[in-house]
Amino acid sequence: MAVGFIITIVGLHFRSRNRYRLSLQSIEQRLLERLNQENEEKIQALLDEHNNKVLQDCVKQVESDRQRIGILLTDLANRFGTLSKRLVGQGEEITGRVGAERLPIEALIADLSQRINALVSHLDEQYAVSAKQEQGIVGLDSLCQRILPIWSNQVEMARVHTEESIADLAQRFDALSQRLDAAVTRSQNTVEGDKNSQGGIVELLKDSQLELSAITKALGTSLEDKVQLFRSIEDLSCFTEKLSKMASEVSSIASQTNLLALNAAIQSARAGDAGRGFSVVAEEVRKLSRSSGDVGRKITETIESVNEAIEDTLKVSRRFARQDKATLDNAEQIIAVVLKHFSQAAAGLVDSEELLRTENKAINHEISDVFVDLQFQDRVSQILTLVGSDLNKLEQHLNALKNEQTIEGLSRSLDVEQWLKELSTTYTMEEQLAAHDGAKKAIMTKQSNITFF
Amino acid sequence: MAKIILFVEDSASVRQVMSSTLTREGYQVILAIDGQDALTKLDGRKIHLIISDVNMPKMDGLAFVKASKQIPSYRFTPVIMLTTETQAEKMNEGKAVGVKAWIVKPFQPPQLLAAVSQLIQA
Repeated sequence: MAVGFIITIVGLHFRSRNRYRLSLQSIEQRLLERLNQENEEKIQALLDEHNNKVLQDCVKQVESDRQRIGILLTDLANRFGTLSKRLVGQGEEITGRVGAERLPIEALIADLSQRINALVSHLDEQYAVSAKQEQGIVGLDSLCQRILPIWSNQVEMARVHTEESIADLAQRFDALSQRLDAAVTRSQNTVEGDKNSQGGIVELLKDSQLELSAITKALGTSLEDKVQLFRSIEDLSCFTEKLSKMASEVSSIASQTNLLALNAAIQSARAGDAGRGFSVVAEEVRKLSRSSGDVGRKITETIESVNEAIEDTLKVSRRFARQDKATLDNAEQIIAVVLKHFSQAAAGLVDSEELLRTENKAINHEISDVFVDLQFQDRVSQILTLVGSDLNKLEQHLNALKNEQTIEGLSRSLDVEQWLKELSTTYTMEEQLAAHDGAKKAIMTKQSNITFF
Repeated sequence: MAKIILFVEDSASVRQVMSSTLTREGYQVILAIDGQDALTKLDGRKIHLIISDVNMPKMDGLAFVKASKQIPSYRFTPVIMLTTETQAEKMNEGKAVGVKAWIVKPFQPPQLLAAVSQLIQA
């Protein structure tokens, strides 16, 4: 029973618990539904509010965009008007709406569309006219295709001919300059001597002057020695006078001795036989005195002969000395005159050499200037090369266009602006660019500065 | 010992005159008619200075200078450009590849000689 009771109690407990849970679920369900409904209402309200705001913003944005588009369309219409004027002609317009009051966008677009159609029609007419005109120049392409290589060849021939001629000219000027330098160097060496210590005319003249001075000095010295010799000879004549006097004295002594011997002989004769021996001695003394007298006379005669010889020698020597002096004086004068002439000639040569050197310097400067002028060829060559290259390019382009048209039936086209732009990028000189833009500018001929980096 | 100069020029007249002028000043001159020809001359021999034109057939001067700077022996060899080119862009290009001086034709030979002397002594 108790078990049955407990089971009943437990069964009731679970039943009541289940009911409670169901009740709670029901309440929870209702609460959720109510909350969802409230949330949806709030969300809807917020969405409505947001949509209204977005709508207002969009309306404003659309209005703003419409205004901006309107301005752009008006500007486009104005620009289109300008374009139309340029394409069609000054003062002529496709439509009369340019500059009108601001119109609605749709009206602007319609107006613009109408004007574009009108312009396209006009351009079609123009194209038709130009096509007719183009067809009018029959054979222009063929002419270009044939004449362009000829022009190109002519330009190249002119360029090569100029280059060869200028190179030859430059070589000749260079040879002239070298020959002139060599001539000046030779002249300088002749006048002043060269680096190998070979004396020139000026040095030779100085040496000759010194050598000739030495010779005249030696001759002068020789003349002085002769004068000294004359004096010695004259002194010798003094000695002969003394010798003559001494010879006279010898003769006088001999005469007195002879007289003395004669007196001795007389006295010995008076003495008789006692004096006979003395008489012999006296006789011998007389003989000696006579001999002495003879010798004295001979000495005197010899001295006179010597004196005459010395006198004759002195006369001849004095005459020679006068001649030598005259010859020496004359030689000095002649040497002085000759050296003077040589000096004048050498001075003239020095002046000529200096003039030659100055002229050579001036001519070399001129040749240097000529070389600057000759450099035009290099610049002209570059210009002609570029022109020739562009002619070739045009010829190739025309050939390509012709092939395209023949093979594929494509319309011919040439982007002139692009062509000119490409050509302008190939220039190397300012003058080329200036000429490209239509200016007439001479090729620069003045020397330029160096830029060091 | 004469200093050696490589002279690269397509114009025969300029080549003729400058070769003679440089030789008379005591330099030894090696001639080339364009950049490609000049590169064949850079065979390891000592070269003290390079003078080059810019616009030449086959290989232009700036391309040649650029190529020469890749060869270790000639990396520091001074270069003078001798050209009709006056545009600043080209000059800047030359400066960028290592050119030391830019002379625009026409020029006076003494003008070039002064630049040569200055760069060879530097």
